[in-house]
Amino acid sequence: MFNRVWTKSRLYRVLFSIEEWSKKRVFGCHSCGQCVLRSTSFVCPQTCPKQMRNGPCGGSMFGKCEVFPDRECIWTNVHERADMAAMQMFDMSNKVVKIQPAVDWSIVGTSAVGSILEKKTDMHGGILSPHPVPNPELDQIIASTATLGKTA
Amino acid sequence: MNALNDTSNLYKKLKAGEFVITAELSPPKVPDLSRLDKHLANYRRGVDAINVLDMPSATLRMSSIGTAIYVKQQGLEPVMQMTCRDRSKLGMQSDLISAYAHGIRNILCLTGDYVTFGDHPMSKPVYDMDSTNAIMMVNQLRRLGKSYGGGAIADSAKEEPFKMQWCIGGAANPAGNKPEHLARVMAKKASAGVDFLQTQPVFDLDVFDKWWTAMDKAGVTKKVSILPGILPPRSHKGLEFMMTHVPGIWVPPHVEKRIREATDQKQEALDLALETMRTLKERYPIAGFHIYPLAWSENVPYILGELGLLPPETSAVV
Repeated sequence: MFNRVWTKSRLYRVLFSIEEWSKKRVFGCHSCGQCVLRSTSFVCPQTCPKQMRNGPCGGSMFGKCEVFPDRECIWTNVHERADMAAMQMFDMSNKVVKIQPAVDWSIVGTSAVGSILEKKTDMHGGILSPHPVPNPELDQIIASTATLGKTA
Repeated sequence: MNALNDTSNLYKKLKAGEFVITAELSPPKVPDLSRLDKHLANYRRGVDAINVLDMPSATLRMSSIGTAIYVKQQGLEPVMQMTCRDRSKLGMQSDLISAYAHGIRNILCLTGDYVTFGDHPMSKPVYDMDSTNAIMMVNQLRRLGKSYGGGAIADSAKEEPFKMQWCIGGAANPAGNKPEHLARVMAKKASAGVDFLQTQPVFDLDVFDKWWTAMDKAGVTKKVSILPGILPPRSHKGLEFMMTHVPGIWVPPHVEKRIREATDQKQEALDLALETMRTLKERYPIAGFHIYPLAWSENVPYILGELGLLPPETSAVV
């Protein structure tokens, strides 16, 4: 109920338009509502023609995009920036190896800051609610519970 | 037909550490399945699983699921390729359930070539998820019997969730970008639950070596079976076409020159493929090979025969 009132309020709309306007100009934001900029060296993965959220596709060659060969592959930028010493204060090399879930289309077009405040996503774009996503470490969890079962 | 809870023969062979061979089969454009028979006859001996392509280069063809069902009916084992280009999460899972019901147990999750490469550049590319997420989705179906949306694969609340025993594959490109960066992505695929990785055609052994070292360092080679790709081109013209029109293929200048200057270009390409395969098998603990014969499937028995991987004729009876 609170969410419904909040997302329709004038304050929300003003804050969202400021966020959208500034992020669009700086990062080419597509308002996916689940911002992963802090995990992808401040490169928006939605600017990739295939919206790759976990790494380059197989067609990216020599740092160039498969679809637009005159453009750089965004994932080359993500990894190269993550390797830069200046980025280490954000601990990027640990974040780029984290699996990002697919876009939850039920929150596309809403404020990413709002999603964090409403606890729909975590600070790094990981989806908490309204819809669950597969666990990236499923195999490891199953393996560890299996060994626990054996020892017990 | 596999039993409902049984996994694929490919999965069993990979887990047992057997050397496996997979080859590609491109579905026809014309709705006539008999056109596949001559290729399937060439794959009957020595090929453990057949990759059925899902509209390569985004060009309209018969669907991979329809062709894979036919391959299965012919007594061979298909690997159904599934791209994220044409279907949403819902559509992909629906196809997965249908394929499983028809006895298909191997799946290769790909992102897919972009629509502008094919004959439908005006079509809407879906890309609801990327290949890593597709692997995660199939792994959840396999391990927990739960769909992407979290619901159980069961017809009633009382029923136990059905766990589909998929053998999950992924694709890798050893060339193109920095090996360390590529290994990071493959480490993601490995932890997402991939069982085997098929690579793009290997022409450059130096590039492959650097990639393998990075993959070793990232710990992927121990977790996942790797099948390097082998592509013997028909002629220099064919090779040139692939270099310019097919995304993700790297051919070093010395290889291109060798094929160009050969008197018998077809034989030279086959010799090159055999040399590459022998070197790769000798140097790295690979799980097998993935052969891209293009339209010339008769090359597969020749290559396997030369390498001594062709089983005796008697075992061909299915």
